[in-house]
Amino acid sequence: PRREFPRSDHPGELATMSVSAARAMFEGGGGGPRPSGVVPGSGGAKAADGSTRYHILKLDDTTKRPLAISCFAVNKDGSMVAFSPNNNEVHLAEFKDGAFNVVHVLAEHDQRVTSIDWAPNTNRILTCSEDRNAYVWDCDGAWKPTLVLLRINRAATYAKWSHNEKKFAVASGQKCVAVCHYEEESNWWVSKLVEGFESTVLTVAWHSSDIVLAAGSSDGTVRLFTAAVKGVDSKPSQIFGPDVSFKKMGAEICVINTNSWVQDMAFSPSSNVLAYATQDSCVHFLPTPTGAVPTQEAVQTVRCSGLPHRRMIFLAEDTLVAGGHGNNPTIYGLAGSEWKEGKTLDEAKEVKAEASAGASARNAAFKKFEMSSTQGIDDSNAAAVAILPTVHQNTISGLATCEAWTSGERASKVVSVGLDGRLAFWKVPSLEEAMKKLSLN
Amino acid sequence: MADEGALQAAIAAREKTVTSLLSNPPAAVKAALADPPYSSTSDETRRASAKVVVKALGAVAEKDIASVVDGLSGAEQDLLMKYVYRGLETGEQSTQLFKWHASLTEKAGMGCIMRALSEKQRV
Repeated sequence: PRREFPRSDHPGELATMSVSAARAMFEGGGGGPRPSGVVPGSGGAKAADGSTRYHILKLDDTTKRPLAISCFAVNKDGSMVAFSPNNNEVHLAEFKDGAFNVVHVLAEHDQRVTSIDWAPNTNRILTCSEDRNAYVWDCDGAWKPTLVLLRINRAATYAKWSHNEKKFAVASGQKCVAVCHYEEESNWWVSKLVEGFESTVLTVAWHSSDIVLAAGSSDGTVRLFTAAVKGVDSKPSQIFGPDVSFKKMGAEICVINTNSWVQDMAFSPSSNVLAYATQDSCVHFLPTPTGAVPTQEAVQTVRCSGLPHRRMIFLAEDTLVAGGHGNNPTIYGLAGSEWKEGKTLDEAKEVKAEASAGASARNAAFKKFEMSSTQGIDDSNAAAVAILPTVHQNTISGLATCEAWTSGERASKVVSVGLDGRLAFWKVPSLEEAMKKLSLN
Repeated sequence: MADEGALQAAIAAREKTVTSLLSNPPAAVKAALADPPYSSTSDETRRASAKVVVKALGAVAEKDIASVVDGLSGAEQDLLMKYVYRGLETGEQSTQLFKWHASLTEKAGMGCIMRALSEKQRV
């Protein structure tokens, strides 16, 4: 794999071109070779009021089409993002002057990278991949990887740092979660496997105490278990009742059943609620106050009107944003004591198909074949269905916010990335604004 | 585990209720949606149950479909969607069932379809 900073003389390489050149490309009517990956006249990267609708993070070198972003993380001050263009590399891009520039390529994994997590305070990056490994990357000038022997025989699917950033959990296809901590004597990250699932574990979430870990799996269950590690955690207190001594690492606290695969989960900032999204288009909220074991009956289920969500994060104690196959981040808000579905962040106004300016026979031909390969549309009249009204043209695969975008207890900005290779910034509305649904039900 | 006899008796009882309520279509639909045979292991029982629901749906005039769907709770809408797919399996009365499908999708969204297709409890 190439490690050098991608250079190109081709004006289509958005990753390297200057902001002014990019503006000229989209706002100018015709003129100049167009990047075949971006449909001309589609509203491009700019909205009518001149603000940027989305950024493209990485174009493929040969086809110049946007590469799908499979996983994503933001650093503490929002100045850098880490993403994987659906391959074995992790790219670090700086956000400067309104554009993204890839500054580092971390290439150590052999297979597709499935998850990236950026520890905000220690500035370490955790990556895991289908090659059954995880790496912890430290930065001192250059980024240096440290291998973590997870001791699993199947792909790692999801990785998350604990709040104190001294441990992390990696979910895997081996129906287990590897809880890892750094052992000083051996200078090595050591993993302890927590079994008990009946199928691939898809997601994990740390309780704010770092002693309890929640994991969701494609067997339709959410399990909470203890994850206190001797030497790393101080003597654990009883969060939910049962004994959480160091010896009982991995002891199950409770099992919550759902109807479908658990795609993603998150604890609220206070860790009083555990939210999880399942593949049957539901978002569930499990109250997890300290003192009592969480029960199945207490789960509040919100039936989503759209397609299932793939990723979710809490923006505040009473606001959750989730995005996925609907291509549109949706807010879920707490109204009193009940969680309800709120507005979507993307207004999804109908975008006029293909403006005639600059549309030549060559572009029409390009579009026809592009549509048939990216969207499976085999119609010569493809122009009419070419573009989805949402900013994202494909599933949202990552949602993130960072400390720099959070004021008080509330995040004001959130960023989403998708399998269409696009990254979009969203301003977070207030709770009242988000819950004002204009819909019929 | 599943007492087919008891389930079938319940379905027969439900059918009687629905027949008696056919003059009041919204109530008939609600009655038909009560007590789905989730624990049944027999295909025949499920088909019988679906028949009852389709019968109730047939009593509703096309222009009233939207209002009947409005009157159902979220859970009932999901259940109805499952029955619509069950009914579409037989190939009978499909035009009508498609109208119900369209109305349900408009009210409850794609999420309703997802739930009908992916839920473990099959109707």
